[in-house]
Amino acid sequence: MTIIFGFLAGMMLVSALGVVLSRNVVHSALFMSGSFLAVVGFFVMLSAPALAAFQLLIYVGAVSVVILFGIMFTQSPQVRSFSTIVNKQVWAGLAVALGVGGFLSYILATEDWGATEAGQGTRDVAAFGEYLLGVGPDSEIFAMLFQLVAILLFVAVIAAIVISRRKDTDIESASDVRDVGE
Amino acid sequence: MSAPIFFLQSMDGMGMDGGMNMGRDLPLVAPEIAVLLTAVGTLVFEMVRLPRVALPFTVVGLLVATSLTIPLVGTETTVFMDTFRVDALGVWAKLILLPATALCAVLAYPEVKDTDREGTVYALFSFTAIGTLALAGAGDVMFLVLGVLLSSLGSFALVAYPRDDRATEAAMKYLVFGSVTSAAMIFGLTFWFGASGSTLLSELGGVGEMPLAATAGLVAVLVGLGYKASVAPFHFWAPDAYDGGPLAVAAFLSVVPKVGAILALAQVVRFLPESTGWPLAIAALAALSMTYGNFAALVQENVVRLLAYSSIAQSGYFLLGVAAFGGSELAVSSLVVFAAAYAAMNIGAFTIVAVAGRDLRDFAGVGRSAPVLGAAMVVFLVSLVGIPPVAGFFGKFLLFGAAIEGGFVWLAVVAILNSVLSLGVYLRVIVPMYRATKPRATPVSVPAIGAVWMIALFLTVAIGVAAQALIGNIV
Repeated sequence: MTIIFGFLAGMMLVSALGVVLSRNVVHSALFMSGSFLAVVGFFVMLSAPALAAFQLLIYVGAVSVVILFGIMFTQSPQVRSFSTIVNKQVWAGLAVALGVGGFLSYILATEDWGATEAGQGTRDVAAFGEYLLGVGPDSEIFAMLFQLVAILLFVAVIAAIVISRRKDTDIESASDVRDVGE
Repeated sequence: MSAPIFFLQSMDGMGMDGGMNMGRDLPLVAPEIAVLLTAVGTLVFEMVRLPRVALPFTVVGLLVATSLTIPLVGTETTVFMDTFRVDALGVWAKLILLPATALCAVLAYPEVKDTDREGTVYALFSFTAIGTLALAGAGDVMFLVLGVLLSSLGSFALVAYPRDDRATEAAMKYLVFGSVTSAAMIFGLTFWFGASGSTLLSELGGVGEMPLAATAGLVAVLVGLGYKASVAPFHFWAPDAYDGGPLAVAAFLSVVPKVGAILALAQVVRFLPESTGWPLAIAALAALSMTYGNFAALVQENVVRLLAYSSIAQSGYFLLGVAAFGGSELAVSSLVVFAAAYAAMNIGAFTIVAVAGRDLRDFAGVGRSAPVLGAAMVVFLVSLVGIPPVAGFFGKFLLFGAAIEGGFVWLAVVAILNSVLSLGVYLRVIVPMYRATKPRATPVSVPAIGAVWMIALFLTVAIGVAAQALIGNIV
């Protein structure tokens, strides 16, 4: 367990540093999905398959895709990488990051979490799957959430299509190509 | 222990309600299902190259969903094992926000007609509305998260729709700001989960024993929902997004997701122990948002940005009702009445801007060259200030009453002073309208837009007149 935790924590930290230190925005976005994936691993280790599934579907899936689409279709290739990552906000950013991190660590360290029963349930993935679809007895707890996640992914795809579609001015010239394509 | 994972406490509680099943729950979420079918159907019409049908289909679908909600008035229950609430806030959110969404879709028509993917715009309005309804009826923190994400994703795409540089910049600012705040919200919410052992809002009573974790969660929720409701200091995206995208999207963003997020906040504090200090935190945000919004609006030259800052101030008034949630019987009805009034008057004001122009100078002489249009704008702005007898007055009157009843007399005083200040803001639009200068051009409404502001005008007056009857029916 410790080895797996160490691996996941290392993956998360390296990816997080990659997001901040990478000079290429696309690489930053890919590093970010790596860091999201490590969080999925944590949730699995904590026996929280629901959070793991939602994290995987929404963050590694939808959010990363939309951000990548956003980057690819809003910037011309030459400005996609920056010569330096240091700008005048670097100290402010560092202070905010350290402040938030310190505050949250302080809470983690000072509160007594032993009494909470969260995550003590089964690791049975098959049963969890049934719960997700609401087919078992008394199992509708995830049914609506799961449908909402489905809608969310669908909207993410639509949003990506809308953001990445050709400009309306380009359409006339390309309309016959589009007709053939569809 | 075969019952999966972490909702153990809630599972035990479920036994009391007896046989919960899909057959009982599905009719209670029929309006949401109708909105979803509307959105998907609109996409289908787009796919089969019938964009002309997309708008009427959206409007009819949303109105059907609204009428499906009417039988639910007075219901106080939860569905899907406490995760979603069908109560006064959730039901009235549907009755107010679904027609508002339909009005915004009609308002969008002149701006997006004959563009590529016209139908997708209407579908995105409906999808975003679903996210908003998930927020307004949230019974579980996962609904807060999914509601914020769903309504944000749709909104980004709507803001970016024109694809020019201004819209793209506005959408990117919105996207980055939204991603950071919702990530912060999710992260902070894990502390509540850790402290109460459940993602259900109704189990939040347990967080009182861990004050620090409770504070972290509260801050997270205020950041995440405050961003969605454009409450100062989480408002930075709003003026850019409103001014960058189509005006119909600005009207939509300033009403639908905002009201949804405010109601979601009310759903949260309903269960949160007062020892976490939420009433004071929300009261402070309310005072800041009102004061900042009105002062910032005073110096705007662009009417869209002026209305954006004014909507930040209006969020502050909304928060009066949320702050009073623990201590006042009036809180629910004040939130609902003000939400209805706000939806009508704000959509109305944005619609007039769509006719007259975005610059303050475009309004010079409008009151003389187009008297009816000018009079309508005066009614909307007077209602935004909260002067009787129009809708905004009754909404604010109830909010102030709720705040005083909840023990926030100082907040009510701040709100009244802010109303006086906001009169100055709106007079900056009204006064030039009746100055004897030659107008640049006589504003003419195309039929769709004319219908929108006339309906909004009717509702602004009617809600004011009918407020008394409305109050009796809410609780």
